[in-house]
Amino acid sequence: MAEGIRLKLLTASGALLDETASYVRIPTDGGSVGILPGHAPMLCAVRAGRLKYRGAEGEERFLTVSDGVAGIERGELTVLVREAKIEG
Amino acid sequence: MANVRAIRTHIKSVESTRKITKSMKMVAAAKLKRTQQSMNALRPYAAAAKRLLARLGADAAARENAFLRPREIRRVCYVLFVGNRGLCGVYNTALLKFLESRLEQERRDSFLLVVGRWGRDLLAASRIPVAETIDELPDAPSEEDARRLCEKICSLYLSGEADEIVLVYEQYLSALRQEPTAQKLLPLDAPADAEGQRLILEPDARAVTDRLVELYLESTVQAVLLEAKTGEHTARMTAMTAASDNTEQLLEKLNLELNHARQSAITTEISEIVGGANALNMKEEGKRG
Repeated sequence: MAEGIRLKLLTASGALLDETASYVRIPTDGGSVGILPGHAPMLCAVRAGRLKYRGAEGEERFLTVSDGVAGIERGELTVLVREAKIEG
Repeated sequence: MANVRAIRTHIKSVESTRKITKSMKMVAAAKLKRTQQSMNALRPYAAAAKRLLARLGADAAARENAFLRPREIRRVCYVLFVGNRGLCGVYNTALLKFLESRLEQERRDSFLLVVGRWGRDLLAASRIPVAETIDELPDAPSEEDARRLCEKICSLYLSGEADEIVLVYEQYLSALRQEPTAQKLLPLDAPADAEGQRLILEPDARAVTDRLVELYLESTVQAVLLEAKTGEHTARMTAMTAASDNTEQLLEKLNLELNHARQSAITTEISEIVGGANALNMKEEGKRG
């Protein structure tokens, strides 16, 4: 099993995140989707809401995101949203 | 003396031209910096949207998307990205020539959507039918501006007014090189099923495809818009730098001319005075003698 998920969060005005996470929860049109390392390839429609992720050291962080798309492949999770803001 | 005065007037007018070209250059440089920053920030986003769209594969449900569904092409809409004004070298004219030769070659039923204020008269004089001109876009367009433009383009496609959308703009290769290009935006080429692996689509294929296509189109239009604007500002900066350099040279030449004219005027004056004085002296000497 892979050690972590490389989480990349991109918006039209630049990259907001590029770090390793151990867990990511994405708000989607069909409810929240939790992603752990080793997840199967997936594409999902992101709905505006809160995105949660756990950093490499176990700390939990939150982001407010707008509509977008997320794709995971080979341990790399790319989240594309129009706008996003790191909370706190 | 009239000559000296004429040269002075000329110098003054060249100096004011220099002021204008210099400030235009500075304005272009500031706008260039802004658009270039936005362009660079957008690049990874646009590239990722393209990559994700390609990964969607030849999913049957994806084909239901209006932008992916193949359709018979009867009418083409060319979206022409010109500058908001001239004074930027061959930037606009090269683009127009490129479009004209392309239309000449293709000879398809087509119309134009012009983005930018330049060349209204020139375009009206050409035989290309201009359906609409979008002239309110600022020199440093925002995401919102790009989104509105994208909606406009998509609505032309969805309503059936156009069956193919081609973006015609100056591709930004480097600060010194921009090249006219045509890029087909719609219909989207159906992504090929490259890896053959099944993807999980959450919540379903349709929702993902719709969202992804929307993001892809928006980011592509925004990227093209920013690239065109960056090219325009670069071209204007180059043109205005050249113009400022020219005025410097011209001023140098005029100053030399002015000095010559002044010098010769002084020489003439002195020789007149000396001549006059000599004549007087000779007259007095004659009286005495």
